[in-house]
Amino acid sequence: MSVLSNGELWSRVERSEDPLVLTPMLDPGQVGAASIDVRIGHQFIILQRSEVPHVDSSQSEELLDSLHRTQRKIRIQSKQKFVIHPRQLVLAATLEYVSMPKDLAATVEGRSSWGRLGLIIATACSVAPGFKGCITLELVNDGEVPIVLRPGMRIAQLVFFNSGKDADYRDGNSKYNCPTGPEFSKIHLDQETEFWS
Amino acid sequence: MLEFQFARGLLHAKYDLDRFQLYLKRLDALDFPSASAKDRIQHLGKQLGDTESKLKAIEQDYSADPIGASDRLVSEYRKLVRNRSQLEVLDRARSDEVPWSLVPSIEKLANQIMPSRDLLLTTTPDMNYMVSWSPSAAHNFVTIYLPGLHRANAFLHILIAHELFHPIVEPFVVSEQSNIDTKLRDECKKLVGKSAQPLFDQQRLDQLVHYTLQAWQQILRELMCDMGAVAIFGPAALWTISSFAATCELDLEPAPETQFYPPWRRRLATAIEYLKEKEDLENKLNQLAETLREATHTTHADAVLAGIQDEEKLTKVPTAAPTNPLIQIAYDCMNESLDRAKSEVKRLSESYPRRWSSSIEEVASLIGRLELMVPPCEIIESGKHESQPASFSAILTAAWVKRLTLETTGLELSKYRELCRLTLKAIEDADLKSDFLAWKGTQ
Repeated sequence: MSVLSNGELWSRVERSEDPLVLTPMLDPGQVGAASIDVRIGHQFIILQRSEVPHVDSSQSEELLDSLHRTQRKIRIQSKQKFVIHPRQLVLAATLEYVSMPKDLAATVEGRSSWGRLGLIIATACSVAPGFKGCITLELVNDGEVPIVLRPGMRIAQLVFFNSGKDADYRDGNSKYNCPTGPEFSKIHLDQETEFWS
Repeated sequence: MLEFQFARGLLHAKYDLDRFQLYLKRLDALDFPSASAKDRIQHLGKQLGDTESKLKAIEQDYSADPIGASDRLVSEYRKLVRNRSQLEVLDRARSDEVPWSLVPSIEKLANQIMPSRDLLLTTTPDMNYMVSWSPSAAHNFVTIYLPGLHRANAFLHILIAHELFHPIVEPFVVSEQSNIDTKLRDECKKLVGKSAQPLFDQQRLDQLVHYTLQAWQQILRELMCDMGAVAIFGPAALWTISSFAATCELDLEPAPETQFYPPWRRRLATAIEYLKEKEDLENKLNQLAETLREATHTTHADAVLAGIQDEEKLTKVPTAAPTNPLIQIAYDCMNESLDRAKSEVKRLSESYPRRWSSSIEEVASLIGRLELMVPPCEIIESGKHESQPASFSAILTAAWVKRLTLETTGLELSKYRELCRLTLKAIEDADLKSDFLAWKGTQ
């Protein structure tokens, strides 16, 4: 499995059949030597700590009921700032809406420039073939000082691999269907949870 | 006002002023989708500051002029209470209340068709779109109210264009009155006849004229705003008006209880008539269908043509003449004004350059994006790494064409929601891209 380079990435973007789509592509310079930079979007999900006694994924009803009480979706307009404090977990999403071809998979990597400030893109890392939507990013400030984020900033990069045979995220029990912003956790929809709890 | 009453009244006013100022500070800390709300917060803050100074002056003046000070206190309190509704309007204009993806694009559209006015989009618990504007020359605020429950309903929000036309068609409606005044009065006179008491006849005639004039004004206003919406967004606006009307009585006669709103069937017929006469509908639709076919979107091309035929069919159902003769007079006068009204709408809409008719060639490319279930925000040209942002009107046309295509096999609610999400995301991203490219051009 090799990483796709600049030329290969552009040819996947330009092909008519099942192309790779990242939109809006504000600047073609986002396509690098072997990755594509993605930007942070306008929406964030923050945890309302005082409302959360604990999170138990086995209690699906309880978890579902408490979602809107324990998590709050906020929107920051362009040029405004969002401050992420030390040890805070925030869900954000890529500004770019991604449509993955069925023969490509990708991983989300934090940019080292942010990593050096203490910002960890603790994302679920992989993007499955056939996935469509904005990618939810789990951001944690592991540094000592608050970090200011502004919508539109380049936050992470996607590294692409050929997946060998065609696969489609949407054929299975996909939980996240064409999201256009960050999504709450849907861990309670895991089918096996009932057996393990 | 006795001294103890004055003191109580003053305390009451100071208390309310303090609450309003606190409310305003809380609003100022929240997120709004554009700078418009913050501008209004600033404006309102200044007004409340003025009220504070005036209350202090009134308090000091009481001993010298108790009657004058009491009157001024009542007047200031009335003005203060009127501001309460403004606070609620602002509260419902927050980012988590309004369809924020749309706001920048709508503000740009408003800025072009009514450059001297400041627009604020807010929500209402009502299921209707509404507009209010200040006639004062001191501030030119226009507020559009959207049904809060339909926040994410991208298709319905095309009706905002109708509301945007209300403040700008009003001068025409006022001036047009002089052209129909005589005819309207003469026709009403025929209904009154002559009795032995001419004074009562005159009073009766004035009542009939007032009633008919109200009907004529409202019918003309609404038809002009519908024409304005289709002038900007073309068939997409027509389909939206039609889908809004789908849950209403189509032939409800104008009456005071319905604020003299014209019946939906007539509104749709006039909108189609406008598109045909002023927007070259037939040729533009054929051009659209042609580009869709060239891009192998044949079913979409068929859906577009069928979509217009369906609307025409709907408007050609024979309807009974109004039972109220005054409404018939209002219609007759409106028919006299209609050609001038169409020309006026055409003139007003031309200040928005990226109308539907000038962005038809974008639609096929955007349909291609929607087929991939991707927000149709960019025009991708093969072999080019750079792409251009799609125009607002082309995004809405493409979304409607996709919807019409899906409707031919039955459109599920989940699919409709998905299409709304993609459309709103596309509108937001196209606007962002346009701003980004403009900035990049200056670097």
